[in-house]
Amino acid sequence: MLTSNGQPFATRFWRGCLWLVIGIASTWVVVESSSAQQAATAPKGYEEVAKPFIKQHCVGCHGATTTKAGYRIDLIGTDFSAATVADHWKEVIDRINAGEMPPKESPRPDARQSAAFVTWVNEQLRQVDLDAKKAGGRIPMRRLNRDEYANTVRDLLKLDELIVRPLIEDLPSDGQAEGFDRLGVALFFDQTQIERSLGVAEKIVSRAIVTAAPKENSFTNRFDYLRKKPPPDMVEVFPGFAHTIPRGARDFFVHPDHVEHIQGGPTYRREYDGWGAIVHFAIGQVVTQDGYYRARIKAKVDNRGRTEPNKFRLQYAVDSPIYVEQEVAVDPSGTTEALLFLRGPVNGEVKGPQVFRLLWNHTEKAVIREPNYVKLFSKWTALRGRTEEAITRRAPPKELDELKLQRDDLEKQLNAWEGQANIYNPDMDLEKLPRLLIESIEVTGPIQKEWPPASHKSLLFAGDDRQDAAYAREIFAKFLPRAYRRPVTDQEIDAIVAVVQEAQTTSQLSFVLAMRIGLQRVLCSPGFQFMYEPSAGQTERRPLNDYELASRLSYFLWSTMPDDELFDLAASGKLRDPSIADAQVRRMLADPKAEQLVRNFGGQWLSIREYDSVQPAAEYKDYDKPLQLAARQEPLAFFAEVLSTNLPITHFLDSDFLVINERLAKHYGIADVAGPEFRRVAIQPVHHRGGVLGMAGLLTFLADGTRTLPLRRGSWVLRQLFNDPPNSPPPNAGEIQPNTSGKNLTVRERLDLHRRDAVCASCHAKLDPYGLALENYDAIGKWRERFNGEGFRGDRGPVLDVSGELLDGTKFSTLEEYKAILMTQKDRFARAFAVKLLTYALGRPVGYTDQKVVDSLAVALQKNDYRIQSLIHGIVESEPFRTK
Amino acid sequence: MNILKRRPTLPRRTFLKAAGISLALPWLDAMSSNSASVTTAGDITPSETPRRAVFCFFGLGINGRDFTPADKGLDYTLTPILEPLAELRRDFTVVSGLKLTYSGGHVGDRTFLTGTNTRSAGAKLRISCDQELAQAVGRETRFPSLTLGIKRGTGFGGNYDQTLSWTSAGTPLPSENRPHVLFDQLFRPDTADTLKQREAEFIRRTSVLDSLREEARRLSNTLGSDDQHKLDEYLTGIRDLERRMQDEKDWLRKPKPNVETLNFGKEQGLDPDKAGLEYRRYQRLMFDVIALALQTDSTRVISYLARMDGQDGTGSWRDMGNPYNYHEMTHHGEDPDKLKWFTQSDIWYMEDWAYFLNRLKSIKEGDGTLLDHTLVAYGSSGGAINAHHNHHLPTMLAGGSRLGVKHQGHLVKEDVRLGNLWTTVFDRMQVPLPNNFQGGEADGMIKELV
Repeated sequence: MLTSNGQPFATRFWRGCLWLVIGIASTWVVVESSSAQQAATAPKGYEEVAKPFIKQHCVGCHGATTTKAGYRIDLIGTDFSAATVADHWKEVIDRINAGEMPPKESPRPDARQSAAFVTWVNEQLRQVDLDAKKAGGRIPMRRLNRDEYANTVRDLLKLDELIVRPLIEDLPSDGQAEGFDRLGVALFFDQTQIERSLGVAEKIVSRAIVTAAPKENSFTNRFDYLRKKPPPDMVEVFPGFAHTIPRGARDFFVHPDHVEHIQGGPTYRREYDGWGAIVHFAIGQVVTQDGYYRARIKAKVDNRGRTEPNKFRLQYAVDSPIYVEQEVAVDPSGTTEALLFLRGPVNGEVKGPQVFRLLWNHTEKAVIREPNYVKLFSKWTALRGRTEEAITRRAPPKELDELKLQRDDLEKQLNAWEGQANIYNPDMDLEKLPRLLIESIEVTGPIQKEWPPASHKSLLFAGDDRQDAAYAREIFAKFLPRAYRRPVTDQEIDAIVAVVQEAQTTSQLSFVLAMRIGLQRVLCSPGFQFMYEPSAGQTERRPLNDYELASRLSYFLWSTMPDDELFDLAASGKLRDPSIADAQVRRMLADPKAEQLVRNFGGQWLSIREYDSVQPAAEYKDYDKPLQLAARQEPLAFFAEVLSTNLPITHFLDSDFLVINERLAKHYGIADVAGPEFRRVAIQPVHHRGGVLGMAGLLTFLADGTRTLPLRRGSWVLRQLFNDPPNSPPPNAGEIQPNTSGKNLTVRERLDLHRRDAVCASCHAKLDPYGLALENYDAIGKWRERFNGEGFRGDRGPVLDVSGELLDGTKFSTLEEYKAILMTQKDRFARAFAVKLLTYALGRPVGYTDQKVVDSLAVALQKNDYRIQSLIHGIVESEPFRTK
Repeated sequence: MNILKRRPTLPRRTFLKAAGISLALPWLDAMSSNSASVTTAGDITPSETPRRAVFCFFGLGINGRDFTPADKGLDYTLTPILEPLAELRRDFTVVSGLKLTYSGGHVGDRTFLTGTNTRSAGAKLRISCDQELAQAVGRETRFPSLTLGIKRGTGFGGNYDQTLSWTSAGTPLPSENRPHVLFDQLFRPDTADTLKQREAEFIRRTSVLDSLREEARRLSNTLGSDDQHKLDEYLTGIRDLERRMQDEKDWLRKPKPNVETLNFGKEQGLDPDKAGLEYRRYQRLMFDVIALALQTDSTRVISYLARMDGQDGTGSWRDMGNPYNYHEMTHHGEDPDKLKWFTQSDIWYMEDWAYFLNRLKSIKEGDGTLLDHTLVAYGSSGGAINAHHNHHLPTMLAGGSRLGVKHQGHLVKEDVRLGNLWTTVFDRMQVPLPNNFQGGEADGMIKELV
């Protein structure tokens, strides 16, 4: 209101007021228009249902004035078609549904109010879902990942699996998304990928299409070096000493045409107890490339008193990435043969020592050190150790002098020793001990199983004589539909033939070499490398054609191209018939190739590929190589059992059996399991195992090599088993410090100190119990009642407290109770498992647009007793799987 | 007014055509416009000297208690771990307090040169700054950049990275870890046969690539718009590859620098991928080859992942009696024995680093040294206070005095991003900063250093 007086002060005052009013008015207008804007774009019902509910129950803690856990519920936005917005709303109602929000201390919302709110949100999501079906939710085109590429090349070209595997090593590793490496969003193409593709394809085609057979090399070891330089009769009393003593009992005798062994040499490994080293020698001159090599051992065993079977162990490149080992029974005929796949140099470089070693399951301790000699010997080594230790800690001269006196005395005794070094074990009857009589060992190769190889013969189907252009065309006309996994056009065939002809004219290559270039071109082609599903001009989803369906099926269950039966069904248009597709799924699951589903889905779901990233500290003496290898194998073996016998998936949560071998049984304290093969073993509650949460490999991975990591374990359970990942920690979340000296707190106790902060507790209350419940498994997955690791040993560790309380109030005090609670959550688990398997099958992330599909899969699982194969059938029949 | 008549600079090709003359004097001086002929030394003009950058990464942090000096400025007191660098103290700056946002102490290798958000599962992999430099200056040299590491390959898909270098498409570049193999790649002359072979290979590959490109274009028309993206990626890949192949082909015919063969001794023991690594001998030979590569202008950008996050890969001085691996020592838990070995190990690593810097300093270039014309960055993913921290990183910038770097002794920059150091490097390399540098993990230069 402005007066018209004109008095200076008044004018200024009122002018000020005017500006103030205008100022307020404009902000008021701005505010009003933004909320009006919000009201205008907000979906129907927002003002009546959602806004009041949030205002009453949520904004108090999650608004501008108080912002618990940094979460502003009033800023989410109302445009449900924006993906993040929809996800936020989904999370809000998930929390409400789970009873997590509002928190227990706050007044509960009226049940009808909650229901109305949740329903409203769901309606919005469903609406957006319908819209999205038209544009989104499609499976984007993706390329084959490394494993799929290798398997496809193997099957397409009929190459040996072992030959193909090393050839693809140069391909860059695949990116992962949602925990799997077959999602299109993470599988990119760039110049490195293309360049490596070309290089790898070159190597493959030179194996697939051959010119001349590689030379077969051979080497025979007849132990002549032992005859030229026999082991001496006298040996040093101690390495480095001049005084020598008689060797005494020998473990082997050299004869003119063979060597007779009573015992083999030391192997220096616990896992080879009962085995003696007979000989080792270099075979680099034989193993010139990757391939099959034959070892022929001319040897017999004079069993005498022995009743158990004689065995050899053949080893190559021990302790290297190309290590190979095979056990074979000693053939009584006198010639034992074995065929081994050995890796040789690639581009002049070999990944390990090309040394062949032979072990025999001899009689342990048949030849031993003479006992008095041993006493002297060990005294000397012990004394030497004590001296070194004293020097390092700079002991006083008196002590060093005393030690020197002792050393001098012992040295005199050693130099005076006249007895022999070795004797035959007096507790054994020497005459009854078996003798290995070995004449020679021959290694020959590379052995060709057939020549030309199957790959060559099937490509150049009319033989090697024809070299005309028409032949090239016929070859690719036959080959390309299989390579591209669909019928092809003449243009596509012409493109390949053109490359062959160019190679012949411009590069002056022979027919065969030019054909290699053509094949290389096919292997790098987008038609081969991409899962091709044309969709130009599409506005809605369309059903897949039979060929596309065949590929989706075979890559889902076998990680490779369709086989002949699938191609035939596709060609006759029968595959789209649900009952035929169903029958195919059953056939495919029973086929050995389904092992790829176990390895690629199971392996990634259970994080197996990452197990080797954690190396237990030296204090865990139980952790050895056989345990490491067995622990990697166990989850796969278990998954394979559940899949092949079509068990309920709840077995992953808890089970009354394990699939283990002897080494794992020893680790778990289960008796009567012998041998390295994996087999199903029934267990009792006293063993404290069952399901995946008791598996040593997983538990070792979810630790840091020194102590357990309950938070990582809890996070894994929530993420992988319940698809409910915990929120990311805030940037300033610290790390649990190791024990400062003097304090002896368990991990749980240290975690408690950390959790007392209310902000931390808001997330940790949900997360911690899931991991702390597993504290009975130590950092290498062994059962414990007391805390160990980090220097605690045996009875010095405090007794463990694994109790916990979940967010909905259920309590548990032992691991068994915890697992029982997990079992009551089986619907939650089933849904999560369905999402994971669906993600893997579709090759794209599963989002809110798929909720209906996931719902029906979860319901079907429930009806079918949670059996795993029913879920696979359900996924194959689902709409996203069968449409583009 | 320049009254001095300058002879036009000897074009490189002239010198190179006279291949076979053994290198009697520093490579670049012979090329300089000040040299009277190919065999007479002359001073190289500052504008002709190439600028180089070397990024070295030592994973898992360092024992900050014996590394970080207590005082600041040019006259700081040397700590035990910095002792080996005593004679070089005017040639480097210790920059304390820097942070690497997305490092967790153990996964900082990937974010070190890229700024990638390694915490988020769906984070997009970014280009590393050494590759951005290579894009700018790489075409001047036979090798746009060298990617080196303690383990060969990329490590991608595995547990820890083995490379620091990432392309613009977010793919890792594999690293080399054998000094003798690197030497061959850099200096072994191609025989006439090899050249013929490689040129024939070029022709074959180009033919295949042309054919692939056509097919991709044809297929692209049948795809929906989201799928066309994927094929566009493919086509871009082909185009990038063809351009690189063309560059390599152009360099094929130019002879490599003629340098005296280094005596590698027994090659067994120089391959960190095999058992029996002789670490110190390996490391010093590797540094020798790096120095030669820079000296001969075979490359101007080098990244070297000298110690991995996680399993370190160096053997951690086991042969000198250290019973612990590097990771264990960073988790010392105040154990005095572990702490003692931690410091001792770091001192030994630093001795090798001193060797490297001295090597660069011993090579004369113009009126300075190779070190003066090279920006050498030493850094880690783990903090100096605690290995799991992503701040207070042990970092050092050495060299570059003739590129405008002013060393400050011990410089403390609290809470400043490591990316700012890289920004400073770009500034001294006179390369404009790319858009979205380090994905936002850089917000300025460290002005004190320039």
